[in-house]
Amino acid sequence: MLQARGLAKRWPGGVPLFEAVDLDLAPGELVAILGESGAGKSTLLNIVAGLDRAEAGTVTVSGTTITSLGEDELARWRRRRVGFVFQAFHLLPYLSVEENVALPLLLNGVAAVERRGRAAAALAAVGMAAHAQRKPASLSGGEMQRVAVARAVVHRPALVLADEPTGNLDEANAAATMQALRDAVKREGAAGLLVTHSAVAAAAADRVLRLAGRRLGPA
Amino acid sequence: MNAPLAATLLRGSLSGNRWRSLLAVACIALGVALAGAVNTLHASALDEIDRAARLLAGAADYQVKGPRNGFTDEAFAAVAMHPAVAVASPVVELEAPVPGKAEALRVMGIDPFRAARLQPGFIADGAAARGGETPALLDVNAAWLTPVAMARLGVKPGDGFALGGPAGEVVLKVAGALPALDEGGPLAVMDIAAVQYLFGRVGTIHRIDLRLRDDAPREAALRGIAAALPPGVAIVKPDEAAMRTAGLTQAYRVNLTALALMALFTGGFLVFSTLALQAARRRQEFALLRALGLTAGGLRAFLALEGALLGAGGAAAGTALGLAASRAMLERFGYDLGAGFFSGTGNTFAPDAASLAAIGLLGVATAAAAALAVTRPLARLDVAQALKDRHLDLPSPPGGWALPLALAAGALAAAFVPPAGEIPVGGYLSIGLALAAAVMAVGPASRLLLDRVPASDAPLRTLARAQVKSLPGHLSAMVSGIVVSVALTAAMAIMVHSFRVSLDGWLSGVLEADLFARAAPQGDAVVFSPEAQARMAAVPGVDRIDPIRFERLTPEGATGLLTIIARPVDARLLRGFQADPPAPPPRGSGPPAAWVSEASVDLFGWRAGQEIVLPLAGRRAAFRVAGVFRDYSRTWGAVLVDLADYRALTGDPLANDIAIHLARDAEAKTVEAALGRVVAQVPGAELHDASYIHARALAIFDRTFAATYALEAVAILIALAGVTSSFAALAWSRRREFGVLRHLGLTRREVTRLLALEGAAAGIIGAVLGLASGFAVSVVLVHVVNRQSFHWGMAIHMPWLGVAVLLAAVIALCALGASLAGRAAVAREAVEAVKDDA
Amino acid sequence: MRRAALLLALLAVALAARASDFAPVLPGLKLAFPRDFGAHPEHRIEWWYATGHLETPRGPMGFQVTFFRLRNKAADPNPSRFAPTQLLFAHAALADPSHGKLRHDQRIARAFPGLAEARTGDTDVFIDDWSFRRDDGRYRARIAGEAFSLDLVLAPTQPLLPQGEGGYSRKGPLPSQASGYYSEPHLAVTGVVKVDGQPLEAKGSAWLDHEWSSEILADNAVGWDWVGANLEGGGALMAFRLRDKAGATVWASATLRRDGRTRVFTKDEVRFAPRRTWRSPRTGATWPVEMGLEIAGEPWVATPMMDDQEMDARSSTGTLYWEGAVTVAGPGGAKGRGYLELTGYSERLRF
Repeated sequence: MLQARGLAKRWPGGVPLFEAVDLDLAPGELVAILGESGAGKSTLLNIVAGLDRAEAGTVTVSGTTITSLGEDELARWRRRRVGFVFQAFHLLPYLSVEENVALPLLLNGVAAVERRGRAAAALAAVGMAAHAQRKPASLSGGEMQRVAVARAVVHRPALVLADEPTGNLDEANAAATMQALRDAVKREGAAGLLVTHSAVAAAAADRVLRLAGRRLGPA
Repeated sequence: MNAPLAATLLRGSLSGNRWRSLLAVACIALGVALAGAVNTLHASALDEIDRAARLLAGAADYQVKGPRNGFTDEAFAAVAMHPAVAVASPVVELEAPVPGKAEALRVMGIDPFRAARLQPGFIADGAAARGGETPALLDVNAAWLTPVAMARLGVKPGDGFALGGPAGEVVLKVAGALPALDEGGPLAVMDIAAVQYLFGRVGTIHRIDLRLRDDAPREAALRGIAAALPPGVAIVKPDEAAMRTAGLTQAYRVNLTALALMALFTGGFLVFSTLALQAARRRQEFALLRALGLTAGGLRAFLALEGALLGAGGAAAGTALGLAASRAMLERFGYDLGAGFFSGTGNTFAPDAASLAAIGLLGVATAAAAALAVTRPLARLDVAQALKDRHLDLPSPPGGWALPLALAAGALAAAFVPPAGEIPVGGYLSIGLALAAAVMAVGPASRLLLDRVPASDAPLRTLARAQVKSLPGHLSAMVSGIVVSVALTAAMAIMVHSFRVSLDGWLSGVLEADLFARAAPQGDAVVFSPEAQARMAAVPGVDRIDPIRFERLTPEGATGLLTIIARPVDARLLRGFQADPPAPPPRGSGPPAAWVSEASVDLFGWRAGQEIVLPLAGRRAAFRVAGVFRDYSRTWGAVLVDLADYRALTGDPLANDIAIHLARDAEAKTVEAALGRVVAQVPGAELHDASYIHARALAIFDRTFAATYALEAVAILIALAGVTSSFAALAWSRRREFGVLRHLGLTRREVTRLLALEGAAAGIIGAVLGLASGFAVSVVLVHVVNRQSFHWGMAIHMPWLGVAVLLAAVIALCALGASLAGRAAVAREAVEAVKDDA
Repeated sequence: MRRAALLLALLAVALAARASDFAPVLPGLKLAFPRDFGAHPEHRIEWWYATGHLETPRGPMGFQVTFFRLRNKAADPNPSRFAPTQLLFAHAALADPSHGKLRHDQRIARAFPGLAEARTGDTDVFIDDWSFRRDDGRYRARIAGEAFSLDLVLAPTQPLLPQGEGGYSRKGPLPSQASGYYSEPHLAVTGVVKVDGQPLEAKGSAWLDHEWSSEILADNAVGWDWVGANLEGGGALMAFRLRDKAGATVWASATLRRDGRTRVFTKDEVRFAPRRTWRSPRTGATWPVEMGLEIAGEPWVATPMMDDQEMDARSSTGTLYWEGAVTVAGPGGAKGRGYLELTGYSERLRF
């Protein structure tokens, strides 16, 4: 589902960050990349998301070579095919929980009735159905991140990307979030890519890779 | 909160958003500058009038004054011989046209022997001592000029020059300079008998300057002198000249100042949103300080201090700017701000420190108040919560309708509060309350309006709607700024337009004749003699002429000057003047009919059917008020009487203006040319057709309101600067949100468009609320403020096109400003934005 | 003669007009009273000039009260009530040795009915609250100055004294260079002098001149010397001369009343001979303050009560002159008190 070949990226000064990175993800597979801070995990994730450009290499998702797309094409591709979970949750404060989850559907022009149904289902899947009409500010961190997971998969993306999703959470909430993420990837048949420095979080993945010494390899 | 801590925190806030702080300072500065400039121009003009009056009055402690056209000089002996009078100096005063120039020179005829005892400056310095070159003191053609008058006429001592007089040009000789009187302005001083003789004023004087004996009992002396005066002539103190001018221009000044303060008010919103953003951005910082033990009160004190500092900076800059601007305007345009209230040399620059300080303090207070408004929600800051989350905004404004409705009711009630003197305090209170109501209605109104907008599947619209409807504090402050400035601008536009349309219609009615001859467009030295009137009437093709005579006097038992308009009155003229009733009453045996202007109704309390007494030609003349007419040109009251009645009462056969009706079959051009030759025999006199006068009156009107237009433009500019900067701040604070949206697949352009949509929505809400409250304000302006301070009765006329353009411009500029701000915000990488911990 | 200079310098320039425009004073003039007590408005210039000595509780004082009238024909076409066809000027001075300085004040005005007039028919001339009137055979002078005021009654004690040929007083070689001129010597003065806000009863004697003319100065005259004095025992002396640039006498005349008899002396019988000069430290002008006189061969001398009685009015009226109280001594122990006036010593008086 995701194929990355020969990805290379340098620091702004020219020092290589990583080189010749290959990565393959199957549908329904959740892969975790571990690494030290500054190893380039997030950069790799962003390149895969089309938010950053590699100096070399290609990324192909479900047959689309995104490394050759323009900025607007990338945005539209992301809208349809990518879901995100951030460390800082990033729910829009002026939207309700349900509206936040429905946001990707809204961006993809899904009709209101269907939006509500799918958002409710996604919320139910992460155990947040009861909080649908609340504003994000009234939720706990774990609750917010579960809402974020629901938002990440509500539009059935090909790729679900998570950058340190448990970084702001305690152990119990981290485990719940990872479980929700894993369930969602399996349920939707998406390829899930997780970067983290938490071995606990990585434990929930099907496969764990390590980005170290400019290379991506098995943990 | 101690000083080092405050200083540390201030460094933080200043480094935080320097240009925005600067903009807030600039806003306060603009408001202060405008108010300060208006105040300084006015104070300078009054000071010059006051000083000129004092200078010319010299040691005089009282003045005997009468109607504009003067009073009999027989009164002089009676006053001068009163035992309490030490010195009495008679004065003939007129403004003579300068041939070939569109200006008039003030001419004072004095008895130098008497005037010099009050003001030695009237006698050219050392003139007598210079022997053979001494000009003839009593030479009928000798005139002494102040240096400023010589400069204006381009003459020097020994030169000849001419002024327009009633029987042709009066040729005079510059006998010498009066440097001691230079501050009195451009002035020609001549012998009183020469002025009476050459300018056709034999038997008439305009003023007697008096010095009473120190040992004379004042009250009895004043009563005794007053008893010796003919009706319509009174004894006053010389400094009442400036006070009277101050009274006359007070309404105009207060209106301009109120406008300037409105600009200040608008600026206050910007200060509010600036500080609010700072406060929001530094919420965690403040929470930390609170956690470390700073009290809520200390925090509020700090923010108030910060606001006051911004205000002080603005006030200082604004005061300097206002002084510089008023100085430059004095040098370029003189005092009158286009309104024609003042004419002077413009070389007096007299800022009033107390007023400027008050205006400056108002600027500081506005900023401090805005800061305090920001601190209110901070007092309720949940420290633990704020330390954890990074939510960046103000709490939403209170949402109910109760407060705005109560304020609106208060505005309505205030409109009925009677004026204090000439100041429509109720009107201004009403305007303030109406604006406050509109601002308070922003929250509920935007929810109400957006609930009416159907939900949509278009993602950007939905997002924008959700954002605006939830109305974060920033957006609310910004919309309030738009509401206020749109309200003020729309109100002024509606008021000015209403007035202009009313004036236009009135002019069409008043200028009912074909041609108008005006004896003295400049000054009052020239009048049409009966012979000149007869010559005009005899021109072939002229059907009839209506001579018009003006007089200005103080009615019995009143203060203030009233204009008497004497001209043939018939039903047609009355309709033109929008008189009610529009037909003259049948001639009865009672006193002759008079129509009083709306201003006279307000100022003198006259009513139809009432008998009024006017001191005409030194006699008490009774009139019956037949009705009320509309007069947009004399705000201090006018009375219209029939020329035949006036002439019968006064024996005054002269005319200032002539309305000329042409015969139906007359060849207009030929008749006008023939009339032009007759009019040309009277120096300085002009002949114009009605459309020319009409157009010129409107041009003068537009010039008068030029200052208003300028203030409106500034108000709009302040508002738009506020909009753009608020959006910039908002976009900056939402950059993480935009980052998320871009992760979710929105393009940069779409994010920009989202902001543009939000801007447009905010613009629409602001414009709609602003227009609604602006309309209410304009109704107050037209029916309360103008009625009470200018005594103009008029109807509301909507400048639809202008309002539409204004609204479209505001909405478009809001959208543009927001999208510009958005473009700057999304220029950053989305990846960094979502990580930004700042 | 006297201080017409003051007024003329102030106004004659302004009223540039030829003498021939006015009614001339001609030989054969016959004084008629009370008509000639009053004003002569068709003549160019006229004055009532009273000088005298007073005894007051504060000591002796000298006083001077003058009213001038000046005709301005240029204003005749102007129908205005303010037209300056006649100008009036009044000057009053009080010499008070206890004060050390001359107090003086002045008024100037155009004639205006009721306010400032020089009336015909009898002496009645006034400017505002300054007046000089003849009533019931006596004059009353009322002066309300800033620094002092006078309210004096001047009562004749002897017949008036016509000067020249029965009141026709010639001033130059041409018959029209003359004035109508009579004096009232030995007027008994009573009244009140007010100085420093304090009214003082005053008593004394005075001399009054009333003179009118249209042509007062010959073409070649630059100034004049004049002396008038009440002599003890009821006598009176008046003498004047007009001088040319070189100091030579252009015209002169004198009148002497002695033992009830009056005699007029002509040009050739009157000689002025300065005995002592005084140079003003202020102006540098030199004044013959002690004036010797020879009238029909008899020597007289006028001695100033003090040297410095120079009047510098150049800044206001343009004139510099000397006028002051003198004692007069003459033949046969004749003694008297009077005034000496010296003009034209710094420059020619301008007409």
